[in-house]
Amino acid sequence: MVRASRCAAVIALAAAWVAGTGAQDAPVREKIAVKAGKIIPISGPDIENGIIVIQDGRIAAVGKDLEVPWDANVIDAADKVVMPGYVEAHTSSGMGTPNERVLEVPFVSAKDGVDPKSVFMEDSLRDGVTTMLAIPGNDTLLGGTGVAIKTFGLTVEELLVRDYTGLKISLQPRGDSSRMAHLARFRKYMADLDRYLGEYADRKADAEAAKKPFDEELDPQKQPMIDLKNGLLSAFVYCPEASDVVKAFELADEYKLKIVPVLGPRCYKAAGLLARRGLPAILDSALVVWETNEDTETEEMKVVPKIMADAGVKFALQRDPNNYETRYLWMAAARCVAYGISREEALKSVTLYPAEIIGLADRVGSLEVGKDANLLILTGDPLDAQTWVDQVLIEGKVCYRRAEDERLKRLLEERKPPPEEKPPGDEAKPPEGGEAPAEGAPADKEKPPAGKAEP
Amino acid sequence: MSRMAAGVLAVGVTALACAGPASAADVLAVKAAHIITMVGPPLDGGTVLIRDGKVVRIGRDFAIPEGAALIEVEGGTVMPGLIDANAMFAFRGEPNEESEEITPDFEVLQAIDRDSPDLKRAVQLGITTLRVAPGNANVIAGSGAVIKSCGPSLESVLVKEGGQLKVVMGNDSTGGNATPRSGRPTSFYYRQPTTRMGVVWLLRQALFRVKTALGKGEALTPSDTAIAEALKGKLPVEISLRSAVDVETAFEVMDEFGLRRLVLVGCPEGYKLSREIARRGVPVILGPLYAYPRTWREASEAPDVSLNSAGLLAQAGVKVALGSGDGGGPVDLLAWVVLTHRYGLPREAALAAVTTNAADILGVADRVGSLAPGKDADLVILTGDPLQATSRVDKVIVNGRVAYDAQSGASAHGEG
Repeated sequence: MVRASRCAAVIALAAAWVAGTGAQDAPVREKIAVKAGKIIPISGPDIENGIIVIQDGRIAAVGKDLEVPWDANVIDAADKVVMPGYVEAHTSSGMGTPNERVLEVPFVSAKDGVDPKSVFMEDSLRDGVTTMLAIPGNDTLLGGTGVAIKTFGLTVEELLVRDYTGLKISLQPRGDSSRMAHLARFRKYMADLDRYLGEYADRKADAEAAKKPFDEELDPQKQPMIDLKNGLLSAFVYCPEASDVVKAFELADEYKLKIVPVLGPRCYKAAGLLARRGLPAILDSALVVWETNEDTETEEMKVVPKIMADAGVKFALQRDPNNYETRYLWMAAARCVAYGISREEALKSVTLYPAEIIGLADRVGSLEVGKDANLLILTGDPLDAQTWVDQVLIEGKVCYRRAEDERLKRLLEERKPPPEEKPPGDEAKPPEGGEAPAEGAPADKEKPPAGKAEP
Repeated sequence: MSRMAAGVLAVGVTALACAGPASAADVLAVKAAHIITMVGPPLDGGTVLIRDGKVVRIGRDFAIPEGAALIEVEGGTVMPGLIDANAMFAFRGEPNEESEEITPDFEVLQAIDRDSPDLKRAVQLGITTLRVAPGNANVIAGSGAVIKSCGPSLESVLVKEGGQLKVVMGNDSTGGNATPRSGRPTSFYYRQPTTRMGVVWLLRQALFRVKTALGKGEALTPSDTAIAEALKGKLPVEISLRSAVDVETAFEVMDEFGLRRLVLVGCPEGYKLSREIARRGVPVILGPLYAYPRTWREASEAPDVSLNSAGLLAQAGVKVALGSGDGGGPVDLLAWVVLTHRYGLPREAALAAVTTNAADILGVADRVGSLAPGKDADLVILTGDPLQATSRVDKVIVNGRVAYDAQSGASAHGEG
């Protein structure tokens, strides 16, 4: 026993070393074949009665009439639908307070804020979200960097898909501060940064001219902004209003920044601008906004994804976990279909497009050979309101089984009434030692037999 | 006025018919692939014939009268207009009279803004009828009103005046109240109650006073009349509450004063006492729905909600309706229907929660909530099944007039 477990530990360590991640959950070193009633690969047409072969946590083959490797563990999902896990390109949930009080904190990282044991993370997995970009909130000018994570693991290291992904810039002035001051602050930061880099370069040149060693490191607090300037990081720019999208593009041009617009609900008027730029955007969870038409005195319903799709803007959808009807990516996609967006586009906006936006399209977002085996096994069509996530595989490992989801049961089923209190007279009597636990009470099975714990 | 005429002749192009008075010649035929009447089994394919704002015929095999305007939605589903059984929007000004805690004879109708943007939005979400309730800040808050979401005059909009006496339990009516730290609470602005106990005390005091007066045959003030009606069982008492504890307290007060007609409103933790609520035959207007508390009040009063609240109540035999409550405006009731069904409320019950059950609880089932000859012609035409998130509201008809048309984007509102 001892030898076996040590051996396993060595293998696990080796695997971790090979993977180079240092994560404790090394990729599963085995073959899995998923027999699916229907495969929705996103990257291509749906496949009826297909097979997905997984090896070492990655997809080795997808198709019809594939041979199931003799050494593969088979997951029979012949009556189910298999699709890639949902990807969310932007979230600040599941990390307690997502905004620093100070306005310019590009050096903080969502990695230090993400809580792997948060209910949000658990709900994400339950609802089929397997990859997301956790990034500081929308209330800080230079909010900090994001981290691409999966939704299953005990520590942030285990969750990690890619560290240091995206930097949050918010164009939302805080409190009663003005937009002018907010942007001036940004420009001042950039000017200061330029001056700092210029002086640094001068000192370096001086040292080189004098043939002296130069070991001064760049200020780590400025590093993310330097990386942003050099195009090594993308700026996820939160634009509360359409006019802020214009500003975001101005800043992008002025400072040569790579940006991803994160749109507030009223940004639909920027659709044309976004289309001309050919940039994908992340939409707010409120898919419908209302606008008062002053001429007709009517309230006009603006369906943001429809306006974006019609303008030719690619978009990724996101959730608002605090709102009853916007907590689900499947539902956001279904609403898109309701409003006239094609099913393919709607599904891409919760899988492949967000993966592209966070620069992980080579790993997640579709079922293609070589990609991470992040699979949802669904009881039916993903956009059907009666469909449930039955199993979730992340990197080839089964991370969620609905049948074993105790919390979901608790959230849906009747709560058991509290045990009736005995009258105080009975309580005083010490029970006779060694009484057998009541039959039919499953909870009791796990307790040590009565009488054993106490001498 | 010419707009009105155009609307009748060319429905679907301009849809502003709601703005004008009905004329005798108005005949409208709505054809759809599915018709959910809520009184009988759903029909596969058929026509709802509307005359003078009322449904006159539903079926498959009858000739559409000549000159009738025709609305046809391919593959669409027709169902009764949705009812928001507990709306707290569309006010002109504040929804609470804060100078008193017991205001039984206050009527919301005097404060309803028929031109409010909230109502214009509600129509487009398929809500044709709503019960507007006073706010949550008073212990006895007064009575609400059942109105249509669209119409040119108060007369055309009003379905039922008063109808229910609203009581607020729990901590809602204590919000912001506090005895002064120094000095005496003699200011006009000093408000009771400050505790849960104080709420029950004020409620029982009011009920006791009127009960005693009734017993002695004393003359009643207008304010007391509403309470007297409730004590006599003529007026249902609806208690807005959150915690399961408050449900128990509500039942205690109900028993103490022999209140026969009770409705529980809000009630996010009611599912914990579903059997007791069912045993007493008390209906529940559930909402706003949430999965995790969003406000400090939800967090402190009812943090422990079930995703299947509606399903558990219905399973125990409780009549369940949905209401947007203090959500701050109209909500997408159809999304709630989709999700409550997903989490366990049976299909029929999920549809009834925004139609027949709501109408029954509000006492307006003779006019709205179902499609049958003689009922108000309030219809929602959906692009697909109402229990799927992939369906949307395509057209809304209120009192036989197209009030919203998603195709043209036109929505009508009471510009008479």
